[in-house]
Amino acid sequence: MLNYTIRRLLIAIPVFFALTFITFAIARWNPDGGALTAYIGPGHHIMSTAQLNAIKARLGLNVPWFIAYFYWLGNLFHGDLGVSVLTHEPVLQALGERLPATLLLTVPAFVFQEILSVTLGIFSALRKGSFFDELFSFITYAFFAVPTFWLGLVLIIIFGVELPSLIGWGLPFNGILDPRLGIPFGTPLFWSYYKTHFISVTFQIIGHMIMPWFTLMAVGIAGDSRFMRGQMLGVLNMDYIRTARAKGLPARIVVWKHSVRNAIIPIVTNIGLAIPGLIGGAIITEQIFGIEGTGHYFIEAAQSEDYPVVIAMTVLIGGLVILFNILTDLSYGLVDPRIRYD
Amino acid sequence: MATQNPSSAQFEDFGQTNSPGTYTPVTLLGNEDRLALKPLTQLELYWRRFRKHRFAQIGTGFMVFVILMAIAAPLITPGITASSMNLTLSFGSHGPTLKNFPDYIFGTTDELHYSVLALITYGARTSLMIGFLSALFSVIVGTMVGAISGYFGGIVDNIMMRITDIFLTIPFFPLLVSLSSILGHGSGVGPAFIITVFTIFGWAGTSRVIRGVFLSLRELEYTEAAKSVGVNPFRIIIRHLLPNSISPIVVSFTLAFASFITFEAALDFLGLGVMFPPTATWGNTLASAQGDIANGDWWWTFFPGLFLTLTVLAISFIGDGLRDALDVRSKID
Repeated sequence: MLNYTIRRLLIAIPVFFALTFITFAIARWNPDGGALTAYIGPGHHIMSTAQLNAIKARLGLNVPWFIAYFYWLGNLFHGDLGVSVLTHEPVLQALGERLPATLLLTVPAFVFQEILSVTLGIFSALRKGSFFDELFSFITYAFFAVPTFWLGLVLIIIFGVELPSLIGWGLPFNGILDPRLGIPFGTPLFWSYYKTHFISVTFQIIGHMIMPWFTLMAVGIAGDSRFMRGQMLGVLNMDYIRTARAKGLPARIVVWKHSVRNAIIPIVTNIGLAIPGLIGGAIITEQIFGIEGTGHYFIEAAQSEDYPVVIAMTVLIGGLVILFNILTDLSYGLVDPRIRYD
Repeated sequence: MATQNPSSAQFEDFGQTNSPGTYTPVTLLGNEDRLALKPLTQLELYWRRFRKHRFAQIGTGFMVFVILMAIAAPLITPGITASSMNLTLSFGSHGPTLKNFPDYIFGTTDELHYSVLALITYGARTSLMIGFLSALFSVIVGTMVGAISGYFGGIVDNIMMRITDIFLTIPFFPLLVSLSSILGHGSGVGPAFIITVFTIFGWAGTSRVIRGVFLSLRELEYTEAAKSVGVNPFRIIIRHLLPNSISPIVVSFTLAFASFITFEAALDFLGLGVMFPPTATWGNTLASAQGDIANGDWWWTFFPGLFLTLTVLAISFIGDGLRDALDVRSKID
């Protein structure tokens, strides 16, 4: 176990540094054109050399990129992810402001997703070959192929546009709060308003989040429930299940105690793999439904070539993915003592 | 009955073929039995098993249709032109209509009046090409790495698998977003760029699978035999081991094809991939349609996305069918 952990870390650490290095090198590939045009627009040709040099010094463009890499790496380990060249806002602060919106989107969606996947997986495995199982297979297949962005857009068409024009009632599809409220989500003003109007605002948020939650869950449910079904079928074929049935245990105990608890192990460890996504944001879902979370922040920066933000976000999401991959691998051994590492 | 069919080549051995002109086949068996006796080639066996898979058949049909549609795009529509001056239609967007058949059967975009059918047919060219070529290249690279790694083993295997580990660990989508943003200067990238990035970051999964297959194949007797008579290792790999690992290679290819099409569409949708104008893809058509969705122009979003979804679904069905068909252990019935 210890050996395995050390070996995994020995691979992961160089990978993390390779990720930072590649991202940084690419971002500084074309330093003048890239960062400067993003910073002051194409007008930098008419500036004096002194003005240009002053700006370059402030952006850290006056040193060779590989020197700048070490400065940047040093800052990174001090918790300084850099400053946006467009808004001059520190990346960490901006992320802090956007994290509540992302968590509001990802965490409930993920919880529903896991509960529904496990339940559906168990029931379709228990009724293998039945009409329910066939229907379930077909639906999960279809949802697995549907790209998230198209699903989101179709939901908007049906429940956000066509339904209101037919019956005068539909679901809102832009943002987390009604824009007429005039208070952006996550600001101190919002929290104080939320305390006084708890119930109405909660309902408003749920109304706005139904479609984003569903969009985010659909693909995940399709994948996870099929996985759970496969696991469950595997366990149900085991000898110890036959023994349990043979010695006359009630079906309820065979299913819920002997089968489910074994089949659910890989699903539980999958939660680790999902955490980077919960924090890094659902890039596409946030984009479709105008939710200004961390994923939205990343794409906004990518579209406007705000390179410090792009590097910071790539390294942050990437680092989390690498970290939780290792933790998940190691946790297999904790939840299932039969697994040996060598 | 049987004499009407004298050219059944597989019965030549039984016939009296003394002189070529007077060929008289032995007709011990009825026609039905003779058909059943006909030895099947490996390809025919594959095809038989593939045909058992109904969804794979439907998927194949749909893919043939989409590919033909992409090839014949100029024959179907007059091309992607802003036909706002076209007097057959009034100002504003139009839903599916039979006017100017078949150009407007999926409706038009906003007042610029691009035909959605034209965006779909021409978009299919770019989307399919990017998906196909990225899958092809990444599977070729992955197979080469996996084959060499698995066959030679030892230090070669160790080094190559550590490199594969690194590529498997790198988080693909964030890096893709930042690469396109920085190298495309926020204004999109070309198909060649996307294919290159997909190939560089997409081969590792395939190489793992192929390495596993090669590790077991190299222990088999026929490999041993080929080695013992002094066949060049690369010839053994190409002639003996690759044909026997065709099933995982083909399955990896279909998986990669389907996922690269989706990834490319997602990148275009975020405005970081191929840009329209000039190049239409399914992804960027959806992106431009998104801005118009609140106006009730559902067709502009619905049809391109439907084609994308059905294509991805069709490819996964074909992949499933091929996996069953190419698995030599599975019986016909």
